[in-house]
Amino acid sequence: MKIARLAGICLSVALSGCTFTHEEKAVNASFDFTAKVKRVIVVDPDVSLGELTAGGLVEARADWTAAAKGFIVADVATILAAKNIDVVKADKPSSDHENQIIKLHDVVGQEASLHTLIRLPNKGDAFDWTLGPGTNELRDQYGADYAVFIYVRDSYTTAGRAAMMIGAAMLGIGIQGGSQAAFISLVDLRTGNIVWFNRLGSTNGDLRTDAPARDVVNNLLEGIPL
Amino acid sequence: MSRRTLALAVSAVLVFTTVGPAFADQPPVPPGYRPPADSDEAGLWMQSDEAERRIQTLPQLVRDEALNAYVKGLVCKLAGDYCRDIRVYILDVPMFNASMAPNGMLILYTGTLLRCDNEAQLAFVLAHEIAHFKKRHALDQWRNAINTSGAIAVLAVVSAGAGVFGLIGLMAELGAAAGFVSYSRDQEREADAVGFDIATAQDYDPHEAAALWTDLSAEDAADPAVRNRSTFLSSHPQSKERMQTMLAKADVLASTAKDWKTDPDDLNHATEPYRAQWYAEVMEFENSNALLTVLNRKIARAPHSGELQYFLAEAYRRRNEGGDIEKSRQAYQTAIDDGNGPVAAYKGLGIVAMKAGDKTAARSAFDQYLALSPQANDRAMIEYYCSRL
Repeated sequence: MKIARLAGICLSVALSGCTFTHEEKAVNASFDFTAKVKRVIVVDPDVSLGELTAGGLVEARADWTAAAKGFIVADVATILAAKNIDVVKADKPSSDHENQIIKLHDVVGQEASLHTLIRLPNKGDAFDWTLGPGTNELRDQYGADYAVFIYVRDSYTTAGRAAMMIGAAMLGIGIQGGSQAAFISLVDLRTGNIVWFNRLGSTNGDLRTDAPARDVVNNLLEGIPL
Repeated sequence: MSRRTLALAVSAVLVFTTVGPAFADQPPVPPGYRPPADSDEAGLWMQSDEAERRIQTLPQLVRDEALNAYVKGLVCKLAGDYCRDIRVYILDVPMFNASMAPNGMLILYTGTLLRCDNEAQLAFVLAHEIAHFKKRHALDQWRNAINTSGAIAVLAVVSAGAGVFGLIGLMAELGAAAGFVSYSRDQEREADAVGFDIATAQDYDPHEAAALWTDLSAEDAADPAVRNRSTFLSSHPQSKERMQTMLAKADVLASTAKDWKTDPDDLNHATEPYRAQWYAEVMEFENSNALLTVLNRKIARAPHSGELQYFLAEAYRRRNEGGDIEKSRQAYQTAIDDGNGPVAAYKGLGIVAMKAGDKTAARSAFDQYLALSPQANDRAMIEYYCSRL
């Protein structure tokens, strides 16, 4: 129940902000690159940023999303390059198949995220999520043994919502403000297995501008075993 | 999976049910329009673009070039300068439906292509969707939702159904994507009116619009289990109201001396390679009474189609209520006598004769089936039937 408590704390300090991450490693993860060059693909991240309106609907923002995507890809590339990794930015999915793998990761990653929160009863403790060997096609295409998949949903509080939160807080009622939910998977493209996974939840990160975005990406990549 | 369950799933994925005030009328979009990057409209387009990428990978997407070219050609004829702004995706789903996303992604179900009797009817459906795009109805709906969120029900779209049955998952995706915002009835009325003008400006017979809604109402009425058979109809003004409005407009227009056209041949030609498959899908999926309504209507318009007689026979055989087997037998016979029915009509004839205990007729029909289709993949089954006669 540690996570539930953490979430509770986050809710209670929603106005001041809170960030937490949760990292998972596959059981038998070992890192071996077949090629001399350690090449990793940064797959086109699935990102959506929006404004949380007074009524509680999230209004998607194309400009923020485009900016955030740019920051995320650039920052991930910088961090990996510092680890002597040859980074391939696959910003534009090259095929329907690549698109499907990205969508598959969205679904698998959401389940894995949920599992880190509530421990799906029949799943057991082993972290053994996979995208399946369909990822081999990416390996052949890009000549890389590993790929990084990222999923981000991020919302920011509008003035109307903030006013409502403050008003409600005075009455002792907590209303949730904007929040960030993200996860990242390091996938072995030979098997499709997710060998490392990190989930981030936050109420105060900001992906719209360069410097705070770098903090978010640093948090997300912290502990990546490369 | 019953159709009712499916209908529930479909209605559950419609994200909004609006009870709010009338929408603020947006100026129509100019051709080639892209919303400013920092606008709420750009956000809607971004989400639609994302959904569109997903739809491009769907196994249900019909990729046949000729059929796509035909529908796209018709869209361009109707949309004029907006031709480049609208992208057509034909999905292999046996229901009647069409939808327009904020970014100009037009989705058309094969069930619609199958039900339209001629190009004029299809033109009215497409023109209606083009009108939604031109009038930016999605944006109005979204702004209404923001302003009246106290009065709306927001339902989370879950993909839980995806593993249960392919179609449910597909519907959920489309609900989240294309039907992202369900249009209000006022908007539907406006789209009807604007669409009517667009299609009649291209000389499509105004009475076909009314005929389409008449036919859809009849199909609905034949199937008591599902009133809201499609997202298209459930969010739209009642078929009856639309039918009357269309009829009134058609009567006024038709009195003007003009050479109105229905153009059944092009649509017929474009859908020819697929109709057998589509009918088979409708048969799997839809209520037999509804299907029989569609077939009988089509037969009234084209009495000598062996293909239609064959599917009529199949539908009766599957329904199998009092007298249906005899009706089925007659229809198989008509399909064969008309000379243009599929070879499978002989097999059907054999099966119904077998059921009726007419061994001689059954054997003769099965023999003819195997003679005409020696490579049939159900040959062993037919030979087994023969051995039991």
